[in-house]
Amino acid sequence: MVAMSGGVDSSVTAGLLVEAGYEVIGVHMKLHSAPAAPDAGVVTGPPAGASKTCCGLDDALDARRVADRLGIPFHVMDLREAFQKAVIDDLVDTYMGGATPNPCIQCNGVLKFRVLLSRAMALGASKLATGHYARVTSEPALRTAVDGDKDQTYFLFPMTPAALSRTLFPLGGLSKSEVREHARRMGLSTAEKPESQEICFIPDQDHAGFIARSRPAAEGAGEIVDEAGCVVGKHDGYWRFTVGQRRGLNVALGRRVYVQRIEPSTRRVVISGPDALWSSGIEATRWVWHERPAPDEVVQVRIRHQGGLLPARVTGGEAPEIVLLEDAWAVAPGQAVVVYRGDRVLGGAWIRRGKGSRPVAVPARMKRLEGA
Amino acid sequence: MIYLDYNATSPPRPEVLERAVPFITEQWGNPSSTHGMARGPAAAVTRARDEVAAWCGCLPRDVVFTAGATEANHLALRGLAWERLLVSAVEHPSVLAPALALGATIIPVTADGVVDLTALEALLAQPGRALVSVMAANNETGALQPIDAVAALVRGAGGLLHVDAAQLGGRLAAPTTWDALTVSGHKAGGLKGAGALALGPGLALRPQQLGGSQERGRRAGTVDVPAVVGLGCALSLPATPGVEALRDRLQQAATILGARITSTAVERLPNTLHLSFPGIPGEAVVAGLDLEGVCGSTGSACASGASEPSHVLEAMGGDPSGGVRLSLGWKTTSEEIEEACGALTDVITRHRQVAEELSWSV
Repeated sequence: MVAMSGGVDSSVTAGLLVEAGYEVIGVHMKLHSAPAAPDAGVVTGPPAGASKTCCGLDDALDARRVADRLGIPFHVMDLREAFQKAVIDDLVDTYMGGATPNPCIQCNGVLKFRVLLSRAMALGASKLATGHYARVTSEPALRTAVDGDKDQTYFLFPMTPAALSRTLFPLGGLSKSEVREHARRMGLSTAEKPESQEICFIPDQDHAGFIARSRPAAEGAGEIVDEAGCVVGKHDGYWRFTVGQRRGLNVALGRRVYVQRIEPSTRRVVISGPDALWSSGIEATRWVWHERPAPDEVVQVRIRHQGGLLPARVTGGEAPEIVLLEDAWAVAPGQAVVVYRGDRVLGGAWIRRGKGSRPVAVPARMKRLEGA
Repeated sequence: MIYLDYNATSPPRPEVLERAVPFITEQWGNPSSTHGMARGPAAAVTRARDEVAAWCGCLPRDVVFTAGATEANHLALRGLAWERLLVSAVEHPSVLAPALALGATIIPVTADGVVDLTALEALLAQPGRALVSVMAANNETGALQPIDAVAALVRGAGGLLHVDAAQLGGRLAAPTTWDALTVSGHKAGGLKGAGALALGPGLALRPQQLGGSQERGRRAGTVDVPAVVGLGCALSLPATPGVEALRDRLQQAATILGARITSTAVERLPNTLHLSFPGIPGEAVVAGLDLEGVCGSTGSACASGASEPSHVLEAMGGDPSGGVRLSLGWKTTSEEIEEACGALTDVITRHRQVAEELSWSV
């Protein structure tokens, strides 16, 4: 079974597997309801308007066109309920908790490689294939894509060994341009389709507006304070901010300031100069291990998609801790920390906070004076 | 491939093809022309009109050919004169959507999916001449509506009754009392692209398409001769016997597997089986059957092909998701039904095994 979003990657995935002689079933996941049309309520059913993101009607129809072209059975599965719980509610809850969610990881870990995989097995499919840029080797092990710039293993760390052993990533050895070439060669209508990189269920990318609509009673406005606790400004929703963010603060202190941390209980956004955002360790939760490294092994960790790899050790017992051998800047709670040994993903978890911030070089009081 | 989706469309009957195909290949003239090339097609349309009128129980002149049942439904709701519009909650979307756009009031249904007559009576007691639209048989559940009882109430209140009989052709006889009746060709073993709205004697209809005098000025546009010939032919053929017994065999097998059968307490179309398996999404059952070579349906689908929560099941107060519709027809054989029973057993058993093996939900 191939998960077909209607994009070029999953289209080529299906095409390559057909060429390889697999008996392929295409499935499109309906994950959320398309935004309401102006005439909604008069004429029931989805709007006729165009959608630029994944999961919209156009994408379902694009996927169907590719399936028809390849001559494979195609079905749409309505997974809106599971998506609402695992991805949308999680996104809102995480923002409300003062952290920065990563809906793509939730979608992969829960929707694709749990719910959809079990649907595939129930239909008698032996494997689930997706258009991710990643590789699975026989151990089973999750490994980075050959095209390092496109590697998506950061989004895939929650996959269990059982899920990995039932998964195919046919694009793991290809570059994006090779994938587009395959699409053109196979005559697939999605060959020139642009990348989708936004949050698919928030078409305007205004996540703050989305939260306000989802939780109209939630109070998010509060104060912006500096590292000494002095109020330097106001904001209209702490969930607009991410650790390391500089834009949108609207405070003029005469120096570069960044969000250092967010305190949901007081709705305070604490800002500081860049120095206070360095961490020498990471506390994380909900660990998934494919293979846990020994405490003295130097591994690499990644704390954001397409972020650099940082050397680190994994210590601790029941509750593992990351000791960074090189400090990391702006460790954002709610994002994932993924642990690598070379090209292999060893495991990962959800960041609670960066630890052991480097001492601030200049006393806070002086900094404030500096800004005055 | 075992085809069990006759309520979506049916294979054309051989008699239909025999009569209709010459009007594609040789007698392609426009029946409205006055020359020799028109005579054959015009005669064929006249014969088809007679056949449709005979099935509906009306005069041939009161048959308006359309491009299908959806158009006929729109023509009835928009073209008849009324002050209030009442439609049942389980109507086909081609009635429900235009009705809601026209400000209709919804008539509730019982848990078995038939019109709540007490509620209808109360609605009819309000002032204003009502057009009531109630389908003869539901496309999802197969439940037959009490059209005679509905007609008596509507007549008593001085209203008009439109009956969407799209699912009735080729299966059961038309209801006897109505003011406007929708029929479909391809559900009855005819061809896609033809339907008709039959009208009570002398009933005025405001046309919705202008620009031609076809159909006595009530529906402009060249008549689709082969499709209309197919419609007339399909409605003139006797229903195939034995379909109900095959449906019951399938229902028995599904019941043994733990299926809940919909609308069993009321009369149903003899060819339709609507069921659900608790805990297994309908679309998963349909996809599983498809991979086994059995064509079924969830009964309601949106433009993307995803199954939509069914407004029919919702109106009945049931779980609006999870339904599976299997509908049989003139070509269905007992061998096919035995195979379909086996396929259904395999699909359901595999789902339950996977659900048991995995800690996560299917």
